[in-house]
Amino acid sequence: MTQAIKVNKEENRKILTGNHAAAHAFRQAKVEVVSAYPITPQSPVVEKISDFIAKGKLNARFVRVESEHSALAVCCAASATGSRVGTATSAHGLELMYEMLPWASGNRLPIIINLATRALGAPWSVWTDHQDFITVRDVGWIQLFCENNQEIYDTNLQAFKIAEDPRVFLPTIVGYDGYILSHTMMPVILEDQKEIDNFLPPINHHINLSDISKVKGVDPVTTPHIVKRKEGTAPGYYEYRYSLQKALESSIDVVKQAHDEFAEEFGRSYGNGIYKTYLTKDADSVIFAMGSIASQARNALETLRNSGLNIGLVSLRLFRPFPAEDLRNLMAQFKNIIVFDRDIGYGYEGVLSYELKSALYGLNNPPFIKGFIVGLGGRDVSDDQIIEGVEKGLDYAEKGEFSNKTEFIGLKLDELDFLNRGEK
Amino acid sequence: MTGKNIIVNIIIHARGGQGAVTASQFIAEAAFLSGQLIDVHAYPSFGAERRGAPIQAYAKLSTEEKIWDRSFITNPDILLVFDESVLNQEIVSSLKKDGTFIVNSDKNPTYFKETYDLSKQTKIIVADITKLAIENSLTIDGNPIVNTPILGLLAKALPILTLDNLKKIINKRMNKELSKLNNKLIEQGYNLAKTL
Repeated sequence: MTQAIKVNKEENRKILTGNHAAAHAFRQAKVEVVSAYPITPQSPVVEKISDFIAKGKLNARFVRVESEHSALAVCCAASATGSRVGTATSAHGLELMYEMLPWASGNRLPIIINLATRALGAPWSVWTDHQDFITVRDVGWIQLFCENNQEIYDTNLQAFKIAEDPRVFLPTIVGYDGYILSHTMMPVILEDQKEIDNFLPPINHHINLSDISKVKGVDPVTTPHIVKRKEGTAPGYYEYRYSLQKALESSIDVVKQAHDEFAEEFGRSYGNGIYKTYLTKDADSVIFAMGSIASQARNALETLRNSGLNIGLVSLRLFRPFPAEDLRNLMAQFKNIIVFDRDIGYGYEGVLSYELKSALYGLNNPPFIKGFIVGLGGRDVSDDQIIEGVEKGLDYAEKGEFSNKTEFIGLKLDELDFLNRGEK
Repeated sequence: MTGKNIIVNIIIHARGGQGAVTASQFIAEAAFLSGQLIDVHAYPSFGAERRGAPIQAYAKLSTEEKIWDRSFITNPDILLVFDESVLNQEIVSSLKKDGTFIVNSDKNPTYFKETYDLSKQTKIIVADITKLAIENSLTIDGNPIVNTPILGLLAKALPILTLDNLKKIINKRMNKELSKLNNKLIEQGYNLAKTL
């Protein structure tokens, strides 16, 4: 990661929470319509946006609604008029939006959601894990994950550019850990408005209702077969969904381009835009993780390296579309990969773990992969847990013990009385 | 964690409503103005906070590298205590041996050294900030506001946090009248410090 900072940018540096970094990005992206419903830990994003609107710093329409479902419905309608649109949510807010998520992607509406991640109930939790982010992986949205507040700001600006690209036209989720980033203040450089306008010109939507005679919307009811009409042949559902999948696949290049263009313009980069590597040059093993867990792994690497391990980190930035080809090319060189998931594909294992295994299927001499679960519901993840996972994982690798079973690090079952009752 | 002691970890212990979160933000912003820091973090205890309940706020200051540690601070360099009634042995023992213990109290530093069996290496800074706030009518609904004047004590322990930079942040965040009073009290707090 380059952290090149031009001296003249110092005065634009503020100390901001992750939520406010996202709100500032929306302000500078000149979002035109925002509709949202409050939920912890996201609420400060939309509070700040409505504050910007009230103070005349952002010329946007803020539509208040009675639920997240309605919030995304409003976003879909607003986006269908050709506006630049965004919102923010967390956990059950995103789950309540679920019904509208495939409508947004199927209609190819470039809406941006900031997701301050939070565990799903029950039991009730307001703390972070990546379950909400992971759970919406199959509905056709682009999904990016951030590691610090500057990256939240930068990624939001890139997200609009990616989503609104004519090769893409897809809604995008920008994820970041609730509390750990959403409520933590860090230095963030806010870029010059002129430069942002240059990087992110006004939206040129594929839909423009101001000229309704030319609108080519998606059919209300789309049949399994194609339909021949006087004005032309209409696709069936199958063709629409093929084009959605193809748009997602081609968005990987657009994500890279937007990232590279941003890096060129503003001097900050995040790996290749798809993943970030750290200490991987001479590594024979790597940690694979996302968000707060990748950050903690960065922190733990010094201790791991000092203990004699040639180990590095691959931090995933683009989760959907899953960059399987990029990861195959990168990971083939490593002997062992230890995956840490702050989520579970319940009934199977950590999602990053099985996605990676699937991506590397068929490699000659593939790396040994072992996944661990950490930090669900905001359980503190320290260097100790990362080190414990790496040591266990490398031990399995040495013995050649392959397993898809979940293994939790940092559980405290032995401190619970009820486990011992049967034995007394 | 890096072996080198280049990240200063600060925990504020207070009660909900005493302005600990704001204080942590003032610390991060003012320290960053020094131009000597690569990275700062300031954050509240995560989750629901209730007025009057013991709460914590945190600040991490790094002079040489970006901060990637996302875990709780378990072994702080500095404890900054707004209300001594939240203290217990476990909290005090979490402090690094060569750390700094700062408390708002009418007692003497020796009292805390003996009560909590603090190490000889631990620097102790005490001042009656509550009294200072009441005498100068820095109150809300009759309750003394200690969160800014107590930062004068922290400035005593942390050279990177200067009174001048603290005042700059206060002036940015508060109206003229309040800024003036807080500027005065932060300086008086600094001068009242009893150290051991």
